[in-house]
Amino acid sequence: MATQSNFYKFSNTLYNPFGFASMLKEENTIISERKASFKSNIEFKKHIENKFQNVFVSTLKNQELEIDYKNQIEFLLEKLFLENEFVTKDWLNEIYVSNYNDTKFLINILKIIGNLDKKLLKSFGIVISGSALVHKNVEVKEMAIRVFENWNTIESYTFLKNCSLVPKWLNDYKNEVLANIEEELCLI
Amino acid sequence: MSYLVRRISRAKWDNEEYDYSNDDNAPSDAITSCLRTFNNELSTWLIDDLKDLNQAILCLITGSKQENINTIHLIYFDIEEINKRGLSIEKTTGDTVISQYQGLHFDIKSLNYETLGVVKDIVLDCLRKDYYKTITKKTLKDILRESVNKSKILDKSLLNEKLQSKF
Repeated sequence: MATQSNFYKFSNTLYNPFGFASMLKEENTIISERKASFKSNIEFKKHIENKFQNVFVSTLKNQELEIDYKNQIEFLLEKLFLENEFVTKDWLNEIYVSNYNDTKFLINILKIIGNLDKKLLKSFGIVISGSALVHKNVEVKEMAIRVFENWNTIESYTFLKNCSLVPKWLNDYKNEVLANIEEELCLI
Repeated sequence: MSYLVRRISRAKWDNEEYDYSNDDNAPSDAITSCLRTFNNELSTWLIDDLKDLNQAILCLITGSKQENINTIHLIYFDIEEINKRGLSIEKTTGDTVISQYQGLHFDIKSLNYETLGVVKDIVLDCLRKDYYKTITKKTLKDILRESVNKSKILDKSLLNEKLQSKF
């Protein structure tokens, strides 16, 4: 029969102070690892901002990047993506938003995005290209269609299906891309 | 009838700020980007008939440096326009890995400020007459596959390695 003291003993075994301490210790490790990882993310972002951002923005604002082969700046961006995908995406998103008014920058960044591996960018690239479809500049819109065309996914299809573009040649191009995606993904 | 084919960027010639249909004063980006000369020459590809357009398309996408396949826009015009408009052309070796097609390349040569304007007029005429085509990425891949597997005119191994993996 369990006495009161036995109950406390039992109860104490249930809430084993040793086990709880180890849980706390484990939690502390997780938290400190998170902190370390958060810190390293901040450092990585600072590294991009200090070492890469100026040359990246300046290149995209002042050069017309070739579409048929990769520029050195694209290789460097790809390297950053492979090093830390999430921070690079976050940084690129900020850069994209803050330069949305600069047509040359937008055309070039869409050229780069279109040539990057879609697995690397995932929905981020789709959102960027989707927002470019509503830009007033025709060349920006054309580059956005090209990104969707290169990625050839159901998400691309959804975005293109829901927009109507001018001038006519651009809308024709979009419709042809739509038809190609429908055929390749068997959507009809 | 023989035609000369040249790649352009349609968006530079037909956009929210410029209406090519009734304005001869093309934007400078169209001139400096699509009609950028090297040694005062502009590159074109010759086809004997419009049904041979795929030959010119293949030449345009099989250059030795080409790494990607992207939708292209092109114009084509009667080769007689060159003489009629006082321009001159010269046969030169084209940058394509398809050796049989290298001889289809012609440079519009000795261009200057005035004659480059004549070429600009040719481009505008092509757009107005709809002597223009957009070839999407999927069609380009189909053309490349056909040239490797069926007509066997293209040896895939001669293409840039990155391009080889893309179709």
